Amino acid sequence: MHLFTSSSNGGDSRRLVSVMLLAGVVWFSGVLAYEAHLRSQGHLPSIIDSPQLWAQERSRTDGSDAVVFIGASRTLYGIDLQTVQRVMPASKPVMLALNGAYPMATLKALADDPGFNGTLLVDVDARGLSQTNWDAQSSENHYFEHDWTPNWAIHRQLLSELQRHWVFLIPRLGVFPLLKSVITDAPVPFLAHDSLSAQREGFLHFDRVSAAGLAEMFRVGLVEDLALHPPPSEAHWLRALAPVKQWVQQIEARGGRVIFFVPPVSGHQATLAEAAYPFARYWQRFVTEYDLVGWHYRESEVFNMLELPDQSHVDASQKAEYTRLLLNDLKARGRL
Amino acid sequence: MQFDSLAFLAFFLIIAVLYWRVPAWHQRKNVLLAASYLFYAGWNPYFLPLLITTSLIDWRLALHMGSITSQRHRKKWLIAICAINLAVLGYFKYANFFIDNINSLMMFLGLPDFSFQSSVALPIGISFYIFHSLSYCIDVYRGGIRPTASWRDYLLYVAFFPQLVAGPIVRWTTMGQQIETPRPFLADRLMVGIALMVVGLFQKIVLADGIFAPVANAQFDQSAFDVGVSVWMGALAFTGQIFCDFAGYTTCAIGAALVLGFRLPVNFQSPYAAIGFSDFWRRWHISLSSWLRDYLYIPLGGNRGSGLTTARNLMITMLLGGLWHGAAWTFVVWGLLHGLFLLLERGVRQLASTRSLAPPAVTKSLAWCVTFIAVVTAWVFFRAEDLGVAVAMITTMFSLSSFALADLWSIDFESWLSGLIFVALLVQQLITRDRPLQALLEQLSWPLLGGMLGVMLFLISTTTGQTNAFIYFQF
Repeated sequence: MHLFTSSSNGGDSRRLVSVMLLAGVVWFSGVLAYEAHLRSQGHLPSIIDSPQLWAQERSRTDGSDAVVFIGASRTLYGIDLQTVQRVMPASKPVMLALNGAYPMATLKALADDPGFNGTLLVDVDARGLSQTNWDAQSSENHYFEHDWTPNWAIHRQLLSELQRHWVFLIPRLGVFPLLKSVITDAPVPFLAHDSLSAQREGFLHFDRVSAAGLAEMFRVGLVEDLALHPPPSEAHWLRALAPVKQWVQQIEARGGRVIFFVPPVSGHQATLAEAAYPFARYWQRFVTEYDLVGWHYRESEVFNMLELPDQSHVDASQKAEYTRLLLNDLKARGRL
Repeated sequence: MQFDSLAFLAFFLIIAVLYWRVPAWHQRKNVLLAASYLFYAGWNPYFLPLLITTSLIDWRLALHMGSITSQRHRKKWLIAICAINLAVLGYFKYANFFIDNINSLMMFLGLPDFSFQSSVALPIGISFYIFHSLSYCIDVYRGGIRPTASWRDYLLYVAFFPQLVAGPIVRWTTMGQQIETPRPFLADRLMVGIALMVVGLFQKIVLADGIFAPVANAQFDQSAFDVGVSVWMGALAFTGQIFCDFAGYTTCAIGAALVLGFRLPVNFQSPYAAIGFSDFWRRWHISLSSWLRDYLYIPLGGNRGSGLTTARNLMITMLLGGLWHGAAWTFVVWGLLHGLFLLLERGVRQLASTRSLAPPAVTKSLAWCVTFIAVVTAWVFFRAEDLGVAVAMITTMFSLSSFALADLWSIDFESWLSGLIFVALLVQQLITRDRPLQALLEQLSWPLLGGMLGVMLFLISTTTGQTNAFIYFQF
């Protein structure tokens, strides 16, 4: 019935040492050579975002001192957590913004989480409030609720420590993507202009990329998305947002706070957004009719003048100043 | 914990060193038991009391049953034990499925108000550890083994971490003596154990997750299935994925156990080289198929009765085997299909025994071909989201109008790579169809083994995609 795994007698420790030594030498020299090759191409080590890294931060949202940022790339790459700590000394900043995904699913999950009673800063514009975008972060929330375990918590901490030092641990720089670019006419893996800390604090380095090219790419993307998902009528849009008020009330009932904010954009990003979702007819009505705490970059002159290299994001060198200005402006207007 | 996580790597290193440094055997067993529960708690600590409680209840009841001489009374105790275990398994594994089907029925009858909520969480590995316990208790009932008086030994038998959550399903006849007597430290056993762990991780991380899964997922997630070549590529990729995923886990489990001085049974033996479906089930998840045979098929009567009775027994066994894998109609159909294949094979064998159909080499080649295609087809039901998707895919796979030579050139790099690696895997299984992996590793010269492990470690290190759960954890 069973084919047992046999075991020979006697300990051939010399064979064991030889095999392990050779395996170690082949492995380590291969990894070192690969690492050297990637570095010679200009790639740098970086923590790579994943549902596990997000869940690791999500598990830190308990407590009234938590100041949680949710939103998309403008907050992920814009908010400097050390500056938050300086401006709000007794706080525990947590970054849950996700690149390329609006945060409504996370807002709802935090509203449903009885352990969350901190301060929630929600980076979302009128387009992001449209119901078509509500599920954008649902997979990360599903992962946190169903698959996040102590095992993965330890794994993720160890992996972050390794990714901090080694380029070859970046999945898109793995051996198979490289093989693909050698065999087919697929492009070689691009040089990233973004990086992340183990606390999911993002940095954009526009000296490594064409900011004008990015601005054009974002413009095309926004035009296409607006064509695919045309703005709903303002009445329909506003009516659909009634649950958001309930979510905010759930958090406030536990002693928490929710502040909605729209980070600055410029150029095509600003004109296209205003054309599709006029500020006065959408965002302003959302805040006033549901009696919510909201902040829009249009309210402050300094944010309208802010230089955004790709018309959408701040450079890593601007982060600290941008965060300080944002938090101080929110405080000055009595919204934080 | 999961074998392909850094957490397990750290855990295993600490436990292995601690285990071999502790001098007394009973202390080593304490280390292993504590480590096994820590390993389980790494997933969900809240289900640990369930594992401990069911194990203790089974141990105590089996001990009592073993002391009873009256066969009638022993049977009553066995029924009680089976009822408890199957109730636990049924509740945690099938409650959602049952309630979902009730809700569907209510909707069908136009009574949507009579729907029920279902959100029972599935404790990981429950199907495996319940089957461990059941085999022990049934063997005690049959008189094949004497129940152990040591609760610690029994708990370790059920919870031994290398095989706790995804097998192999080990019997007391295999583990009892190993748990009761000290395990010697042997360098060659340690080396083969480590080698098996590396090979298992290579199967899981590089082959299953890195090469096969992206192609299989891309195909099975489609909403339309028009291109026959692509659908076949997806089906073959999943055929490779499920083998490398599950066999990879088992290989790691056998390796980890061997590092600790324990021998676990081989669970996979070149299943895609099988000639016939009964041969397939002697090679695929051997510990489950032999469990089903010994504790279900034979007690039902096996092939001792008429042809009709044998057919019924086979279909019941395979249906329950399908359901064991998961609470969904797709698994039921998968099990029934294999039951049907086994029945057809019996018919063909009976026919072949009376007249020669073709030269043996031709018959064998044809039988291998049919077996392989049928197994791949059945996997479509196993992987598909629902029966509709599976039927749509299979219709395309066997529809001549879905095939065009030009489609071959539109296949992407990932599919080609997956196809090539699958062919290599198939050839390897055909060549080494009756030679266990461990024997193959032991025969390799040290430079070849060391070099191979080094290359595998390099590929594991540079294939760091999204970590996926082992498919069989959900069972």
